[in-house]
Amino acid sequence: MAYADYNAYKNSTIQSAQRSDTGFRTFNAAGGNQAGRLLDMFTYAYPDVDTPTVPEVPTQALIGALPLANAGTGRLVVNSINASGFVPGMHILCDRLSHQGNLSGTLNTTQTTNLPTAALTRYTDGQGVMALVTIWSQIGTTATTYTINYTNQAGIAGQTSVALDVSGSYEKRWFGRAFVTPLASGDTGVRSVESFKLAASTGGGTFGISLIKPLLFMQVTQRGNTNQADFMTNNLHGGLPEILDDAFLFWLSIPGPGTTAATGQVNFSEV
Amino acid sequence: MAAIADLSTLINKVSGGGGGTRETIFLFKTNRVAGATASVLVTGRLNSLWRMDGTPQGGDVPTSAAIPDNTTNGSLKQTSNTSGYEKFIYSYCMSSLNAASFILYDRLMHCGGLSGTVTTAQTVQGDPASPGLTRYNTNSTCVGNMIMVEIYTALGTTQRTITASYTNQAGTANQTTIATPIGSANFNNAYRAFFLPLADGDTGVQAVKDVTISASTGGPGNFGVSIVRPLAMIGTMETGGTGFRDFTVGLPGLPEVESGACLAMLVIPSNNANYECYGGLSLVES
Repeated sequence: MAYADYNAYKNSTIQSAQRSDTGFRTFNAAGGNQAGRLLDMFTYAYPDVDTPTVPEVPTQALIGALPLANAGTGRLVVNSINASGFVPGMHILCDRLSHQGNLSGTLNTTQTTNLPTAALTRYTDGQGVMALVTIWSQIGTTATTYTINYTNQAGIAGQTSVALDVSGSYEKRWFGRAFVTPLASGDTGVRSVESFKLAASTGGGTFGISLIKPLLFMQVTQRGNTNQADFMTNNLHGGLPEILDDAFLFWLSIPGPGTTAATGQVNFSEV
Repeated sequence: MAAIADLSTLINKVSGGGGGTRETIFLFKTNRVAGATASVLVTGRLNSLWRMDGTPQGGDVPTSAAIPDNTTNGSLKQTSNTSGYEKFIYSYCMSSLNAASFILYDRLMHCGGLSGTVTTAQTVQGDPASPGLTRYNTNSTCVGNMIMVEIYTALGTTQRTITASYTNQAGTANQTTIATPIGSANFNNAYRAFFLPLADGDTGVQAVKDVTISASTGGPGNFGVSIVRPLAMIGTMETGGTGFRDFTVGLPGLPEVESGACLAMLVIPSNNANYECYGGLSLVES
């Protein structure tokens, strides 16, 4: 199914089938020098979320999920978003497909604790699925790099990611900071992650790995005012992607400087 | 198929109707190359993101002239066109660690392995041009093609000038670009890129025969020449700020992406501190 025309789209925007409240607890992008950096806002969800441990496919029962009802006979899409309190910046609505935690920030050997990741139940071919590494407790100050061992979108196991730097500076070791893992040459997605390795100890802290699918980009231009975004207002980009049944929607944010707590609504329609 | 008729047609296609593919590419680039920290970019100047690690992957240094496409590492790797369909960009967004301008372009031809110390003509595509362009390759469609020099390994520190011998939009061979600085600070750095101004009256390029440096820069380094086709520009105004282009409500309409296009990006950063950017590119077919 698809919108037949502009009027059909406009009507669905006016009469959203369902709305989902979305909120973060306070975070400070200035104090953490995180302005302009990628943050996993699941870590800042309100009420507090539990740090993932064992590999699992996040469900609607998990605190931090944007609640939604699965589509009936049609396709569920996001028709608009209203949000207030976000600091200006880019916010990326994603589907969190699989996650785990408790990887050490001090071990420099291959880590398989709570790995491999739980098998994908959405986007199961892995095409466009990304391996997100999140800092769940502040890591040490020693600069180093990490790699993951993963199975790619073609089902080929034993792939090794390109080394990416972590720690060494405040903005790369703070709670909630996230890193999109660069994949090996030719790879365009991830089906599972089998292991994680630091080149050297950072000196402390823990990491977790999530498999995610970015869906939409929202631009926020002004702090404090309600920002409205839809396909036609120049603030919501990525088109009208289908939200799959049982999707676990959450935000990645690239904030500007400042302290914020955000509230808002994601509005869905079925076409 | 043909151009998208109207807004209703676009909405129908973006929401899953009308055949063809629709996709949004998530992209991320950082100041690392092949897993190692890269030298900083040059503030306020044009730099290439071709080699930068991220998603999709960074590209390799080209050697002899070649025609890159949407499967070449370094490109944004959009899906190949569905048979019989044309592909269009309907939105493009970027966020960066510091305010910056980005240029999205189609990399039509590239080469590398040229030296900053050789003072004779260095072959790019030669004469006759090999390989010839496969996109924007006719007298009418090549208008807007540009010649870009890209430095892969730092050149010497003595400033010289560079010129290219090329074939223009009318098919006239042996045209010469206006001499442009190369070598010395800000003109010799790895990842630095710059366009070569065409001769008076010229508006496009079909081939580059060779390039010549006026004298040695003092170090060979490694540089290359590309023919590129800019498609869109975008600016991020502040740290964490977002630049958005919604081509459904803003000029110049929906830019077409040629089948097999090698989409890549250039950046003009306002600060050369550790570089990092994220963004998305949405495409639809008709």
